[in-house]
Amino acid sequence: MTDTITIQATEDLLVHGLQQKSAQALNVLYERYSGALYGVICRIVNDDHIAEDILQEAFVKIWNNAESYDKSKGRLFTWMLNICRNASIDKMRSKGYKSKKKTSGEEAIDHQADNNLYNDIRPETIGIKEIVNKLKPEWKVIVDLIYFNGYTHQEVSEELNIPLGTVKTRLRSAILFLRGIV
Amino acid sequence: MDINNYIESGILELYVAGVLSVDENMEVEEYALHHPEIKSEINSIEKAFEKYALAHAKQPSKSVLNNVLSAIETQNGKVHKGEGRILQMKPAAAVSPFLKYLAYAAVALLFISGSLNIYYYNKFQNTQQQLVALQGENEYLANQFNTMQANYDELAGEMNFIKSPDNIAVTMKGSALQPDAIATIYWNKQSGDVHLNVNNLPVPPQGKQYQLWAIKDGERIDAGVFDMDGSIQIMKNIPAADAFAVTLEPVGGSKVPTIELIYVVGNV
Repeated sequence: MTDTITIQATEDLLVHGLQQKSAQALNVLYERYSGALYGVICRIVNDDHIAEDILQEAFVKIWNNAESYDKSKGRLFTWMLNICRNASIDKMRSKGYKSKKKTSGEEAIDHQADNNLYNDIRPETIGIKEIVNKLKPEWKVIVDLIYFNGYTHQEVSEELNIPLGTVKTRLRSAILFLRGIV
Repeated sequence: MDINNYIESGILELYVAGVLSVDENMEVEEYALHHPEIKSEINSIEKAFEKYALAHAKQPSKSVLNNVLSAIETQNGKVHKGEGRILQMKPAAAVSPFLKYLAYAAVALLFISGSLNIYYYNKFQNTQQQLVALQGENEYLANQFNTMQANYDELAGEMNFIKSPDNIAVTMKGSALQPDAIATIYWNKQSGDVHLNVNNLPVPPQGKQYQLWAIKDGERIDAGVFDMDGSIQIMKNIPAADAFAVTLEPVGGSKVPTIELIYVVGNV
């Protein structure tokens, strides 16, 4: 019913609606971003069921803390993802959850193979997925470790046993590739 | 600081990925605040990672959204269910500066005009009240004038009569009954008009009235009764008389004077 409105709704409007405590805005936000956020949470916690709990908690936090989102400090998605990341970390620490944060490099690569199992929830992500799949595997593993698993350059360097400089260069190249620059 | 080196260092990617320490985050935010290039670089990296996340999107089960909504509802009690339509905000239509100033001017004029309306209306109200007061005063003065005029006319008439060369004044002096009584007759021998001025007579008792008599060749002629109203009174016409006298009679007068009650008498 809100398809046209949804498409038009800019991030600003979503944020405004959210800050006005509009359930409609929350619905749109969920429809638009829940898949991506859930995907990242799954990669962090390695458990779909726990990931759903975390996603649910994170959305309640997003709702409650909408006022604290400051557009000047970054994009809405980044802000939401940080909430999801922190919620994931809290969850893993609190419930005696066996931390799998530092998934090994091989596991990260294994996940890559699982990519085709992920449901595409929106047609426009197909294009993105193709681009992402064109990332060189040696770049992609670094992006995964850093973005999904919270590794630092140093940790990646140690994990994959490659020089620190190479880690930095590859990550940067991967990002430039994703930006469509390379 | 070399901004390009800073960007190339890869710290911004780590910043967006959320793996930096609190201090490092603050440092990046500080730089972003002062260097637009860094800010825009961060934005691009955010978009890149966002794409990456989208590419890894997974569909969570339907229950998640419902749980979120019911959790919020329980916690807040009230959520604007479906009421919050998201509206596309439209920028205000461009208005030419001239029209803008015209609008300001119109508003200002309207305000001034409104103020003047109030000011002049109050003034008008005051003026109208003053007018009503003055009209009342004017009416009062006009009445006063008319009264005075009437008094004057009366007095002037009396004066004219008294001053007429054809008039003679006959002073009637008090009898033994009332030695200090006195009254004056102004008699026009030509016309026979008689005017009476009571100078001093006692107030008549209840049921009694003074009556003026003319005496001609021993005959007593009724010249009319009068009241003590302090003014010169016109009496009956007397063509001829040798003397005048006033007696006290029953109200309405008598045919024949009560001689014992002559109060004043005077010869012509």
